[in-house]
Amino acid sequence: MSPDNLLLRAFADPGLVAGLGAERLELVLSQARLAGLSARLSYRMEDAGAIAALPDRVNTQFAAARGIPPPGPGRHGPAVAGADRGVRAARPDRGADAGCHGQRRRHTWPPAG
Amino acid sequence: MKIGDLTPEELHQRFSGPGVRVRIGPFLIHLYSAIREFVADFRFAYADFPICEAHEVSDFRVRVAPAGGWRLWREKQAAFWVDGALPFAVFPRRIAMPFAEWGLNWCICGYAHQFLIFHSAVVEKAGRAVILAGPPGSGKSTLCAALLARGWRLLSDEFALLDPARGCLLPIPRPVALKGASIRLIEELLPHLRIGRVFPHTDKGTLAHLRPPTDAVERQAEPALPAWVVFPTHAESARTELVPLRKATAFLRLETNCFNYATLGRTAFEAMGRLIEAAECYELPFEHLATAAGLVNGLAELQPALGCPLNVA
Amino acid sequence: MGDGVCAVRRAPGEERIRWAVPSTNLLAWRIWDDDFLVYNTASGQTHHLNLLAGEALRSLEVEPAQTRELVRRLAHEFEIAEDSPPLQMIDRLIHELDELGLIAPSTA
Repeated sequence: MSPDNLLLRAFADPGLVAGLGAERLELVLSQARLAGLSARLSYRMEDAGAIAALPDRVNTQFAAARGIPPPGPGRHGPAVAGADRGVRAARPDRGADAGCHGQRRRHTWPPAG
Repeated sequence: MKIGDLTPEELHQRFSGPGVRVRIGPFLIHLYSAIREFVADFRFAYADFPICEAHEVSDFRVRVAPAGGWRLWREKQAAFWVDGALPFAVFPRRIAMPFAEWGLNWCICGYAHQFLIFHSAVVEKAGRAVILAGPPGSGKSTLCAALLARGWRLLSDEFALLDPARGCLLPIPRPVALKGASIRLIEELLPHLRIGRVFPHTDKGTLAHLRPPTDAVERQAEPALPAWVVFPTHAESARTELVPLRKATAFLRLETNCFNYATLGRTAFEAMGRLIEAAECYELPFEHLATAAGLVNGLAELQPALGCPLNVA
Repeated sequence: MGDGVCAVRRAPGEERIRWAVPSTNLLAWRIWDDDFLVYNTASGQTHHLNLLAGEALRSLEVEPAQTRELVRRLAHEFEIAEDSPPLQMIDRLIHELDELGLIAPSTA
């Protein structure tokens, strides 16, 4: 990566980012996103006290990047598990209706009557 | 200033040079292209969308550019660039417009994690929105268009963007993608709206774009609260009816239509929980479009007050 | 509980295990009627449990318990006999909850 790379310079000097025009700022953000470094750049800028000066739209992008949790053990397979295999223990024959509301209803149009 | 306010030549000059910053829903797209046909198609489909000032930072920098290569002797090719990189293989230049739409979908799904993103159409009436969720081919786009004919506002044909903190849906009223037989169907249903040129032989068959209603674009900064979640399924010989779903079933089914549920984890679980809690949920098998649209329209008419559930024996 | 119908063979000493929800799981719940949806923060997975499984897990989340104690709690909760058919399957339920990573032997 060239030492003139804007992203590298942003990490080295977070304060310069806020002073960039729209085109250059877009370039930094693009480079960060491409490198998977958007969240890290945002933390770097926050630590340097430079994040508040950024446009709201940029901070939204940073928040979106930060919002992705890092990969960890156990995050495999479908997000929703157990729905089909189920934890299918038999239902008790009493008390199972406690708190059971909402009869199934079918709507047709126009309504009868 | 709107895209359509520029002449085709003016727009081409901007696209080829400094690019054009367009506000599309909550996003600002900085778009470049030297392909005249694409610019013309874009001008038609996005005529009502506002052009933003040069000092505004965009969310995505996108370039639809001519591409060379060995296929050139067969037909002209194009490439979709994002952030200065090529996420896709080149494609025939004649389908640049649909490909750019798919490319924008990719950008949103890949990066816009400030939202919970569902594969669904969304329409709104009187401040309340219905999420029409389903996989490709379920009929949601066609049903969406049919509801526009009944006075519903288009929030989106492709994505429901849920703000997890506020629980509201953000509009992104892009052109409605119509496929195959639905093109003629919607032409008849919505004669006052314009459909762009037809693109045959795409990966999804014959395709055309319905220009979004001007009102929908002008109100693209107006969010709406979700009041209903409907899972349409178009099938021949299906009995057209709204079948209430248990909330847990609706949650699990909506999750399968969510692009970034796993990505957002607990935030997604809690936001979806609140959405399903607040909404009435149904599946909607249908054969006849008009009847299906009538049933969905009836939800708004039979539940006049926000949060008031239907009380039918 | 006696010799109930168990799909899972108990290992020796298993009845003395106190089952608990690991603190790292940080479970989030959404309950509608008899449907329990639970999000396990540690695994990132969402589970759909029925009434008995949901109440069993919530009970263990509040206070770890051996199988016999859990049976007692659930019998009281649902006002049924401890040897009633649904509770005779409790070993299988615990085994499944353990396999899903929702519970684990308590280290306390």
